[in-house]
Amino acid sequence: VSLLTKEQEQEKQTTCTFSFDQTDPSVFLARKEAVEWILKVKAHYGFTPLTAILAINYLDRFLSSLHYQKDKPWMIHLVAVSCLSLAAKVEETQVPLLLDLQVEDAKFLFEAKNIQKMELLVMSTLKWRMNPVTPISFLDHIVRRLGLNNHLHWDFFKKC
Amino acid sequence: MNIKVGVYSSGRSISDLRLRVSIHSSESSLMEKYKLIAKIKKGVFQGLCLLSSQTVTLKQLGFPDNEGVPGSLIKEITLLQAMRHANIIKLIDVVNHQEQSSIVLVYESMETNLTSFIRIYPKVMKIPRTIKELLRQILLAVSYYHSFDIVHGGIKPANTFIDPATNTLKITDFVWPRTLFNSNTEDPNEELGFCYKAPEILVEHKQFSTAIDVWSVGCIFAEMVTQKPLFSATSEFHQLAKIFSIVGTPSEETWPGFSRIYRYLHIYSHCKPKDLRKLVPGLEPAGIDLLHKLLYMDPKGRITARQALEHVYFQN
Repeated sequence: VSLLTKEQEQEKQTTCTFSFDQTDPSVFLARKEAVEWILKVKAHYGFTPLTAILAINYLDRFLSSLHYQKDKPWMIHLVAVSCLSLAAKVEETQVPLLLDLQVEDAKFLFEAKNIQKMELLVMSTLKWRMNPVTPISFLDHIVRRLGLNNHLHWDFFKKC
Repeated sequence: MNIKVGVYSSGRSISDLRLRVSIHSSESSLMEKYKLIAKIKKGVFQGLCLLSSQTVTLKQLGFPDNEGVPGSLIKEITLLQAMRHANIIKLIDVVNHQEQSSIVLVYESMETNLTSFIRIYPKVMKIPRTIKELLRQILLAVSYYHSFDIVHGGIKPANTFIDPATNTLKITDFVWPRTLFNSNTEDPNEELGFCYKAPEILVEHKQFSTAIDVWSVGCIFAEMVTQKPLFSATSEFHQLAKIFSIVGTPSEETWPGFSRIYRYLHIYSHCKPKDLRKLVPGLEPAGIDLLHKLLYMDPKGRITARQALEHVYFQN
């Protein structure tokens, strides 16, 4: 129940939800590219699925705010790098250096201090709420409540 | 926001562009939202929220700018924002300070801390019920953040605030004492924080368990009764000797394995534990028993905040 209330609160805070039909196709495309890049890096470093989910959650929440500027093509890349770096810091035990994070055909290479600036901007835009309710939170809750905590179940869970 | 972008194409750097990014941000700067009133200590200010005209405490946290915002800080602030407890000072806002790579934490502000409360209202503090009620609130706050696996690490009367009108107690300073980025902000004129440090921290063993907070609560408990610090050494160096002189020098029975943790144990003369009833006069027997359990030397044997709340002392 508390997960649901938290989720509802979360939705209220995201004033304009990111809906793809109304969005400019160029933003849609840029977002698609960014998500693909995040997933590639996730695979490259073997991050947990939650890291990728968090990064994409940050990305979408940030894009749905009014900060995004279409005329700066590099900007969404910087946002993607920052979101992934934030997600990795929240979720992973081993976090690659900011420069090493920019693998898998990154079109641009950003300096650490610029990524830091964007990290701060993303976090203040998201009101420092970096631990949102995700589909995995529900799955995790259900698995725990059902007592499905043997090795096989966790193995399956990790693959989700 | 100025951003320098290196554009790379087919692996070679074509140009280094300096672009000015004008971000139409809803993010208002620190000065638009808050007015600084006074400096409390290095990096800590008293301010006024211009929107709600509420007084607030502003704390600036800086960090090196080579690897972005430190992960520990992100996790901690996320957690602090989610924490809601009547006995914990609320984190109201987090503001970016663009010029310096730092952030500013905005907390609700309270005027009277426990040190000054004892000084201003010595008679109120003599009432056993007041002490019991304040101790209960400290323990409620401590057990609340221990349930999140957060160690405070710096509980002391100066971080413990009281509203004299309602006797509501609130603890503050979560991020402050532990973050590495501000290791030298301890003001020498300020109250001596080491008086409240647990022995395992003093022997520098990187034992960062929740038990260290329980020890500090024990120190505060005794101080509320006697109105002076229990272990008041002249320096951090002498603190351990002071503790041993009152609680007794650890032996293999009272703290198994301590001689292995601390190589210099043989320097200290052997002391027998003193009678807490004499050192903390006026405290009822159940309180003395609780104090013994809070100030148990071996952190493994020390009572937890949750267990302490169920102690007989609180049962009436």
